[in-house]
Amino acid sequence: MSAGFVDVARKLAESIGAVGADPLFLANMFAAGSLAEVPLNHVICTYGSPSEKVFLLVDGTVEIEKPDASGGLRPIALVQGPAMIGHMGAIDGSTRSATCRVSGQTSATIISLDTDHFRRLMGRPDGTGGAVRHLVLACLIRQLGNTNLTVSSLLDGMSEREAATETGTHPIQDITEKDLHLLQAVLRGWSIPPG
Amino acid sequence: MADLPFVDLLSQLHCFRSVPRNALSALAEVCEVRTYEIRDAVLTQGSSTDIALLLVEGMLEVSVQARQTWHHIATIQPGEVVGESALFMQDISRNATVLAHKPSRCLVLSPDAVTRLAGNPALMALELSIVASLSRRIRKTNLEIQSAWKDTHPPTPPTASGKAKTADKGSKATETGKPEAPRTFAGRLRTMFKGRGGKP
Repeated sequence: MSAGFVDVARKLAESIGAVGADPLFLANMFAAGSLAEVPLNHVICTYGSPSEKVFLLVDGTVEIEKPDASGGLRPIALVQGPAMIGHMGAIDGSTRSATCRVSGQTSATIISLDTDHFRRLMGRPDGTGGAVRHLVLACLIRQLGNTNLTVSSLLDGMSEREAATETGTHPIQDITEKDLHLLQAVLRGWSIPPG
Repeated sequence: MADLPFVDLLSQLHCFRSVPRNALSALAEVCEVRTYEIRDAVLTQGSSTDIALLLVEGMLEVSVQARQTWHHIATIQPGEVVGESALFMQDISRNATVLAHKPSRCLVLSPDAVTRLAGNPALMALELSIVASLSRRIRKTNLEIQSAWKDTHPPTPPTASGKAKTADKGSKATETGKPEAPRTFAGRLRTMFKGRGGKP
């Protein structure tokens, strides 16, 4: 097992705060995929397409883009490695909910793992399976917890403006579309709560 | 409460439908079983224990206190797990209070039990069941957020002058007297998240 994979696995588990995701076992997930240096601006997955891969961003930056009201793509989050991207589609079978593009100043180091392979890893009864399950569990719990925090953050300061709206003394003011995208990015695990 | 042996109760839970009986026996042997009467506190908001509970029998209710007001969040049925955040993530304090709604029995999932049961098919099935449950919650929350946004931001067709007409936000109560859904996205979020967000 490459010491590099163990180190990245440790950083990933720590950044998520996962309990029981032993880096020595988790590194097996990294070793099971295809490692590639992906050039700047390369699109690794496209909104609406089938979720055939899970991406482990080892190093570099990926920009998350979603279609806006006009149909164009709008950047809504930046993900820094180490991070796991595209796991929701592997878990619930949904299509891609965003387009992901290598961003920043340089290329990105990305491990691609077939969705079926990722699911098989999750279902393994050994230490690797346990580590992957615990990582995924922590990811999902964090996504929901961060969504609560983001809602709190967005609603702070809204009350007074809402009160003015209700009394008709001001035009209706509300959370913006940018905030909506932030909320969706946090829920999907691409972003963390503001502040 | 039913009089079935505990392992039989476990085997009736949906998440354990394909799990061999010996694996369920091992789970029941390693994990503590706790019994609660109606209104007993199962988990308390703000506390920092690191266990989760699998409800095997009975019913639990989850509430959140925000600004001196209790908000009912969910009802937990047999086969569901509460408190999983503290088991699978570091440094988590309880963000809700769980009370017994009926006389209930729970299996305590502690970090030690998870370590000791590594490789046990019952634990694996339970973990995969929690993954599926969390995934459904994320998907449902996403759909509700999208729906709330569309409801509160209807398309505004341009007028003859070319300016967008302000959307009619409607009155505050329907003809049936029922309160109408909040007119703003912020209001809808506040309703969805039951008082968890925002200053008073």
